[in-house]
Amino acid sequence: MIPVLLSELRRRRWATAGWSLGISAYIALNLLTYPIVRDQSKALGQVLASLPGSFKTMVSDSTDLLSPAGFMSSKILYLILPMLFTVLAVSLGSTLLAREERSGTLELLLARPLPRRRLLAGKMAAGLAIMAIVTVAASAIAILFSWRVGLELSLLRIMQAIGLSALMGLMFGGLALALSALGRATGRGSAALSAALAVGGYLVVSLEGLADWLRWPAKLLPYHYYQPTEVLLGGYNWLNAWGFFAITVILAAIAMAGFSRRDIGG
Amino acid sequence: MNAAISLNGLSKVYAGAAEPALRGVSLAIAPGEIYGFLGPNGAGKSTCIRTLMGFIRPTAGKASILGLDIVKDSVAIKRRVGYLAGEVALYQDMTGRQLMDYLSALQPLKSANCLRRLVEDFQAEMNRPVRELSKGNRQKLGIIQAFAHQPEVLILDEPTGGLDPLMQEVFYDLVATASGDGASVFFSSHNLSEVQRVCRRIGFIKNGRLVAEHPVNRQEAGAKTARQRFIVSFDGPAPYFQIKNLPGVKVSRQNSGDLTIEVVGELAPLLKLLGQCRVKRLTSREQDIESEFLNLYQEES
Repeated sequence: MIPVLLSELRRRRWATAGWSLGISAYIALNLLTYPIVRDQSKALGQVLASLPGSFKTMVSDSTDLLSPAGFMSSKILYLILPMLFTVLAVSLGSTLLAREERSGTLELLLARPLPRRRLLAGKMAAGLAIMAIVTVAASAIAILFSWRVGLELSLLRIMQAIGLSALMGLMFGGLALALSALGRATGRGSAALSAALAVGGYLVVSLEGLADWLRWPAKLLPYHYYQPTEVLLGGYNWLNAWGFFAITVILAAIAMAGFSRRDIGG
Repeated sequence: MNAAISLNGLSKVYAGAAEPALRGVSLAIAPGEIYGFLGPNGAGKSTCIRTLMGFIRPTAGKASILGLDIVKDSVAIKRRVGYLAGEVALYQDMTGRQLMDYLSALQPLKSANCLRRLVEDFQAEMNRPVRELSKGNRQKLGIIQAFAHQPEVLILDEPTGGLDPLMQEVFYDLVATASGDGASVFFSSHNLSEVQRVCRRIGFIKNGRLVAEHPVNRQEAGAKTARQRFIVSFDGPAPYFQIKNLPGVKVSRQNSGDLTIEVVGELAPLLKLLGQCRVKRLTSREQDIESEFLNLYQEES
């Protein structure tokens, strides 16, 4: 398992560095605009008041977009960061195994005395490690720049909100991995299905406040339980996060069970 | 003595496929034996090999390698087996050395000297990324990784594809040495001459069925009665019907008026008849061993 983990990390080191830099740069640039927003909150408040409600619900789960929590949610945490984490996790989940199977190198590994479950565990560990590296980098930059621009929020809660965002992305990555491990979808197919669920879920949930008929289906979607403003304000129900975690573990178990039994394509 | 590889009614039907890819294949390979597995593309060679390696599960039947069940003991089997895929797939971004280091971490080598010797023998390019290597050089790496841990059983799917004749010789020597050291070799190919050269026994597979097995010396004996072909030009009319009536002879007339004569068995009657004619030119065309294989194959089916 360890050689598989290390090899995967080595092969993806530049991509991991790129993701860490990219997400960190996005967070830093947005936080650097906070002093402008804060200083012109009155004028911006009037502009925002004239915008339709649907716009506000699509960019944030906060009603006050100019408060520190609302700013953080609308600029970083509600839409862009979870989508970036989802794209990263889904691309990992859909390639860790499927790319090797498509290229034929999976047989090279399976010809070794390495149980399939241990091989997949090594791949999963690599995916987790990459997600953790990017999350730590994003958290460190968010904390540093929040402190630098005087964003009045708990640094611990900022870290928790970024962690929650990464956890939700990881869940979609787990879905992509499970689909490819079961052999039910190719790498691209599993990525497309997982990404469609993530983006569709976001759209339904962000509009549920405007259309009553969306309220019930929205409750079935993970995005409904992703409330970064509540995390930043300390009112989040962490059972929801445990739910994300449990679903991710279940998807990983499904991937393990499916991969250990099925025929390998060749 | 127990068989090193034993297949008993091994069958495989792929999900959604109308026809089985393997139909009750049974065979046994002795320790130290080199067994050639011959068949045209799509005959079931790779399916059989991939089932033995545990990449796909048999639908019916059983098989064992070194007494271990291919389904239940797949991991234990792989400690003792070297495998070369039909289409060698390697990590494009790794150098040969990085690849061997990675695979050695997953399956420790009994001796680093063995790997060093293989690299020397094949003059393998170890310091360039795989993506920059020719097909032949990638094949060399594939062969090296299969032999490096000195396995007791070698399962090789069309192993010489892309190798130049010199490297093919090195490979044949390597297989002979491994067999001499007691390793059993299951060698799939669609090249009869290669299998004849290397193997002690040959199994023919067609449409998923093992249609025949022959010891190689029987193949060699068969060569004495093999078909031979001549192209003959005559100064004057060609004795077409007289030649046609000779036993074991097939004759056809070319556009130029020359005759193409194929003989199975004794040549003396043909040579005696030609001696009485005004032969301008006689060209012997050695029958291509591949077409010999195809003839045998058609007869067997």
